[in-house]
Formats: sequence, structure tokens, C-alpha cells
Amino acid sequence: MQQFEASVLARVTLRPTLIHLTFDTSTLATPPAPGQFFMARCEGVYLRRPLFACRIEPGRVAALLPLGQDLGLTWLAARQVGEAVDLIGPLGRGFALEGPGGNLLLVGCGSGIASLLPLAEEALAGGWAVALLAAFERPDLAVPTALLPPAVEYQMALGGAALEELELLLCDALPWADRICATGGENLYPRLAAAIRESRLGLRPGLARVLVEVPMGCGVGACGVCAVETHRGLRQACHHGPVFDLAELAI
Amino acid sequence: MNLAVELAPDHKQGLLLANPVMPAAGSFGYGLEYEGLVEVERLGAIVTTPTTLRPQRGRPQPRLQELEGGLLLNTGGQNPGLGWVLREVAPRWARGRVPVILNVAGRGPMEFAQVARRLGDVQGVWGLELTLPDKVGPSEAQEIVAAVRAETLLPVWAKLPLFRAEELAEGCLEGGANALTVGLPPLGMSIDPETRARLLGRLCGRMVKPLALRAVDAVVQRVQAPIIASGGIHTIEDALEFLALGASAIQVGSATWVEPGAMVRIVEGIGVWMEERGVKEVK
Repeated sequence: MQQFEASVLARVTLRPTLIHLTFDTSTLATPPAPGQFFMARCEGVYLRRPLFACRIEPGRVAALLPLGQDLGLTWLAARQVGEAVDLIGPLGRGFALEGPGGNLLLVGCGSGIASLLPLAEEALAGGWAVALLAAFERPDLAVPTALLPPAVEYQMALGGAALEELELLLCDALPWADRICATGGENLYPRLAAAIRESRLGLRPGLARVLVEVPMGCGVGACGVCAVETHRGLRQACHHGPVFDLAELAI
Repeated sequence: MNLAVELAPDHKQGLLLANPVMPAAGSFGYGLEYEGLVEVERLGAIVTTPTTLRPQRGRPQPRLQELEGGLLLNTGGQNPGLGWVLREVAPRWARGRVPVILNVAGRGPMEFAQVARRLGDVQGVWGLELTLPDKVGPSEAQEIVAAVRAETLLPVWAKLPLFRAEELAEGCLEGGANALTVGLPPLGMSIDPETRARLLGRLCGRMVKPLALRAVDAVVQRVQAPIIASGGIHTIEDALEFLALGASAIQVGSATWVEPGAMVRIVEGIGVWMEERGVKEVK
């Protein structure tokens, strides 16, 4: 990890409430892995904000920033091309796709789903077949399909009952999946775990990895804020995660 | 120009730090977490996360409520316990040059004393900072310090709850403390009006500084001992204010989460300030 100034290389308004920012990360010694994050200093708020990449390329990292949900991220989203942002990272442990290619099922809800996009790219390059199931409360919160590689099969559930609809989609997709990676938080993971247990006769370690989003203080494992309950005791999301084996989470 | 400060002047070996800047307990882990981001060797000391005799799981989420200019924090005292720290971390401290002060938390004199007893031959720990319980009275505070004093030859600092620092200071020194840390952040609360979920925690951040200034001033006026100021310190100017009050050293807490280089910047700033004014000693 290192602290560095990242210039904004490009800023695209995807929707009135969704900004796509590309940062220059050429000074980084090690590029982030999908699921790793940066802590971004933002004006107007006290603490740094975790920033997940939606695209990782040599020397540059892009992020999707929703407007109007968080003061810090809204400030970040307002940065213009040429402005610099103070970042620390890459931090934490991201997704890892070990073994030969197979069928990768990505599952998510909310804006955090953006962190699955670089994983989709990496998986396709590694010979995996990739499908993405996503749930969003409103259409304006959905990840635009243009950001997804064309080879990814993308199914979306929208509206107040999106999570329930996602569960139905999961029933169809789970028998197909050799590996599952998810973002989406405390509402999604118990449902995902239950669906896997039913479909696969149990939740074995290594099958499903999930990104746990909890408030963070320091981002480096020093403050004890981002504790996550696991079957091996409390773990720090910023240091031991934020990606955990679903079978390991105490949910 | 000499930035060094002695923070256990009445102790046989003393506790001489290269400069008066160190992290506040709970903000810097065990000194290893920020490697690569903070030039740890440029700090006066490392003060560890409050550590108890046995591991503590802490409380479930939520643990944090961000506020304007700070935060409300309650980890429930989560820490891996003394055994793990001595086994996994202390050997690495022993190879470093920066003094490590082990912050100890506990419920009463017996528990604090048990920790001190286990530190007998441990290499890498230079001193102890005792986080006194919030509700402790002057006599029990004195008992806690005396119980630890009876078990260790290491220098001992007592960390006093901010709002009760003046009341507890003398007793702690009589119990054998070599210095006082002022202080333990005050308690606050937030509530979600929809769910009525409450978070009771410690107030950290810039907003605490005026409270800490007042408490440090009161204790400095009352006792003759090194005072280590802690509370809301983010900048060189903040640090200078506490030193001007008579504090011997300062601790930086959540400011490091915002700006990891804050402590080193303060060390440099104090040096520049002294040089510009021809000040020879921090004191």
C-alpha cells in the first residue's frame, strides 16, 4: 500500500446521479486486485472513504461514484479532469480466482456491484464463462450495461421486490456455477447462503466469496472499527477482507 | 535544538523519548499496521491498542458514527489479548528502535496487576500506559496504579478519563505513576430516530480539543509530573498549544486515520518552530 496523489484522467456523467471517474495510478507499485480498495480523502467529511475500482487497467483505475448518497463520495464525484485526489491503497484482500476456468456467477445489489466488474474482466481473460445477477431498487441506481464486457450474461431485478426476484434468478443460475462472487451486504448474503445450501446440498468453503461492506475508520487494520463476525472470530474487513469466504461468515 | 523528552523522570532508568509525539492508544494498532505509510522510526514512541489479559471480542456493528469534525467510536474493547501480543508482536518490537508503550485495559487492580506480572522478562516493551475505567474513583485509581507498580519495574503512565483527570491525577501519582496521560476521550451517544438504535461511544476528533486543553491545563496546574496530552490533536498548531500549556508530550489519535503522515509532520513542525525561535528544549 502507498499514499499517493491520483489525478483525474477522465470524468463521464453516466446518469445525473452516477459519475464514472478514471484516476491516474501509474505511480502505484502494485495495481489493485478486484475487490481491493483505496481510502480516499474527501473534503466536507472527517473520515476517508473506501473507493472500489470498477475498471482496472495498466496505470489507471476507474470508479463509479453515486451522487447524493454520501457527502464524501459526492465531493469526490465532483472532481474534474486534472484535479488530484489523495488516495491510500491498494488495501485489503480482494477476489481470487484460483484453478482452471469454469463458470463464474457474479451476484450483487446496489452500487457496490461495480467492484465485480474488474473481476468479470479478469475472469473472461482467464477463460471463465461469466454471468451477473444484479438487484437494484431503482433503474437509476443500476450499473449501465455499457460498462460490462459483452461476453457477460447480465440479468437485472428492479424495484422494491428486487431481492426476492434475485433469489428466483439464483435458483436457476446456482446449479450452473462453479464459483460465486458477490457484493451487496447484509440483506443479500443470508439469502445467498440459504439458496446455495438448498441448491448445492451445502455451502462448502471455496465455492462463494463475498465482499463485506462495513464502515471503516483507518483502512489498515489499526482501529478495530470494521469488525466482521466469522466462524473463526471477529475479523477486520479492511485487513482480513473485505472479501471473505461466504462459508466463513457468521450469518 | 533538542526534541527529546523524559517521561519518567523519577524512574530509576527513566523513559527518554527522541521527541514528544506518539499515537494515542487505539488509533495505531500495535505499530505494525501503518508500516509503509508512516515513518514509524521518527515517532517518539508507539502506544498500542488497549490490551487486556485475555482476548476480547468487542461489540457487534455498528461501532462507528461519523460526526462533523470527528466520530463516535465503540469497538467494545476488541483486542487479541496479552498472550497473542507477547507471542506475535513483542519480538518484532524488540528489534525496533522506537520505544513501545503497551496500553493496558482492565476492570480492576487485580486484572491490571496480572498483565504487569506477565511482562517481567519481555523484551520490546518499554513502559505501560494504564487506561483507567471511566467510573473509577480516586482511591481505586490509586489502587490500580499501585498494584501494577508492585508487579513491574517498567515506567508506568496512567491514562485518565478526560472529565475526571483533575480528580484522579494525584492519586495515580501517589500510587506510583511516572506520568499522566490526559486523557481518555469522553463518552457520547448517537441515536437513529427511525430505529431508535443507540451507539454509546467515545468522542474522537477535532471537537475534543477544547475539552482536552481545559483538562490538561487543570492537571498541569495541580501536579508536578510529566503530562502527555491527548485529544483532538491534528496539526502542528494543536500540538504547540498543548506544549505551551505545560504538557511534556502529545498523542495523536484519529488524525492519523485521516492523514497518516500527521504525526511525522508534527514532529517536524515542532522542530521548525523551536529553531525559528531559538528554543533549545521542548520543555
